[in-house]
Order: sequence, then structure tokens, then C-alpha cells
Amino acid sequence: MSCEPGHDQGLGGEVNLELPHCPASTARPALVTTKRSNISGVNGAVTTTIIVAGLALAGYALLMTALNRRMNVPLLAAVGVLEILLLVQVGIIVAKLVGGERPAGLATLIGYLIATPLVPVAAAFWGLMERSRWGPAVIAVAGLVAAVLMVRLHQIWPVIHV
Amino acid sequence: MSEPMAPPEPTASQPDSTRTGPGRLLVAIYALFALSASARAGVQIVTKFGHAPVAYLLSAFAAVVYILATVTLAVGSPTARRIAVLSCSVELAGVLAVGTWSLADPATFPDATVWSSYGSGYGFVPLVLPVFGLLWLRRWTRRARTQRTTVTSAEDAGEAADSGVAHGESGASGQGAEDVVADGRI
Repeated sequence: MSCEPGHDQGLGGEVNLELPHCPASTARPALVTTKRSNISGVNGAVTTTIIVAGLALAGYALLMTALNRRMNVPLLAAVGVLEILLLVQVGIIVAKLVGGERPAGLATLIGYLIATPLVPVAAAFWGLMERSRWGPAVIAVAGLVAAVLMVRLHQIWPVIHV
Repeated sequence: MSEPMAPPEPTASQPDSTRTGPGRLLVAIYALFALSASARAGVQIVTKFGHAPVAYLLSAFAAVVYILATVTLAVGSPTARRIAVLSCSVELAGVLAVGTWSLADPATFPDATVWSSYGSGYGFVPLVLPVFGLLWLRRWTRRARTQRTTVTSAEDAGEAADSGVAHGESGASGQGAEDVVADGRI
């Protein structure tokens, strides 16, 4: 792992202060702030949005299960929104990787990048096959998983802010 | 959020397999664990097997059990159900054994497995999942047995399913006919 200054993609001036081999004294471009902010970071905003959206989707889907509703178009649309958010997140992380930054667990991260966008798609297909209240229950799992995956991504690579 | 999107509907059809109804949710969660346990075990074994060999081999074993449970629950034939009962039982025993082992002898587990500390790293889902799996499978075994003793023909089984719908009893006796026939062959 190289110890070069953070290749900032203009995504909010975040600097990874947690890479063990990169002490804070490492020279950095003047552009970069040293403050670790959750507000200015696009990453943080997207991650937080996904967590909120995932939990909201899970809550809504569980409500549908409780009310004995089947899968419907609004729920599918919500799954689609979650999918788009996840793809944006994957794009941001891939951009960071292309920019030369590397997490400690690169293999794990790549596994997550492949698996994450598949979760809502697989849940939508599996849920649509079910013509009962248990279809939305599958969607609820996907929403929860999306939220958990964001926390795990942050653990794998602290550059990804929550 | 809470506005009704569609009129409430009764459960449209009775579950006709272990993969439908509540089983749909079970298979989804099992598939999730099958995927995550295999990926995790694969990465650990390939990249740093020497670090915690026992933990990684147990992770791999857990992955195999999850895959087996996922596939057999999704297939749902009488034979598959028997294998599913076996894998869920092994899973439950594994969570309890590895959970206890990991607490009693932490030195053997420098890195966690899916079942460490009774699956606390996964919100204890690994502990709860096999219990629900076995309950779901037991319902099917009982249903098959009841159908075998009380129903004499496939038509009667169909009527039993209809009355189940009429009483709004979810997950009742719909698969009886198929089961009687299938069980008879084995």
C-alpha cells in the first residue's frame, strides 16, 4: 500500500486520516482540508442517504407485510431508487480505487462492490415471485441489508464515511 | 408512507412449497447467509489461512450448511425437506457448539466465524434462523402426516385447501395432495 496523499476526486475534500501508514504530516495538496467532515463529503451524504432509505424501505415493506399487502408498483419503485443509490455509491468507490487509493482489505471490498448492487435486484425478483404478504418481507430484508452493507463498507474502508 | 396502495388482500394462495409464503423470506435470508459466509470464508482461506485456520474452516463449513439449507428449502420436495431438516439441525448445533467454544477458548479464534459468540456479529440471526427453519419444516412434516392419514384422495386435499382459505388461516393445508402423492413414492 502506497503512502501517497489522498487522491481527492473533488468529492468534498475528504482526507483519509485512518490509513495507518499515512501519518497526518504527509504533504497534501493545498486543496484538501484536514478536517474529517461528514457534511461536506459526497461519500458521507450518499452513504447516509442509503442507510436512511434502506431502513425506510424496510419499515414500509414490513408494514405492508403486517397489513397483508402483496408486492406492488410503488414498492418496486422504492427498490429501484435504492438500487440507483447503491450504484452511485459503487461508482464513487470505484472512482476512488481508480484514483489510486487502496483499502487494506481490497479483495473484501471488491466482493462487496459486486454483491451490493445485486441485493435489491435479487430481492425484487424473489419477492415478485411471491403472491402474498411475504413478497414485501423479502424487500424488507434487502432494505436492512443495504443499510448494514454501508456500515460494513465503512469498516472495510474508513474513507467511506457514514 | 402508510397510505394504502392496494386493498388488503387475504393471502392469495396457500403456500404450496417450502419456498413460498413465509418460506420465501426464509430462503432469502438463507441465501444471504450462504453468499456472505462463502465469500467471507473464501477470502479468508485464500488470503490468510494460517492466521486462524480453525475459524476459517468452520466458516467454510457454515457456508456449506447454509448453501445446502438454501437449496433444499427452495426445492421443497419431500427428500429435499429431509435434507433441509438435517442441515438446519446441524446449523443449530453448530451455532451452539461454536458459540460456546469461541467464548470458552478465544485463543482458537483470533478471527471471528459466522457462528462465533452465537452469531453476535450478525445480530444473532445465525442463532434464530435454524429455529425458524426447523419450525417451518416441522409444519410441513406434520401437514404431510395429517394429510396422509385424513385425506384419501387428491380431490379431498384440494377441498381442505379451500376451506383453509375460507377461514383465512394462512399457510394451512394447501400442499396436501402433492405431498401425499410424492411421499407415497418414497
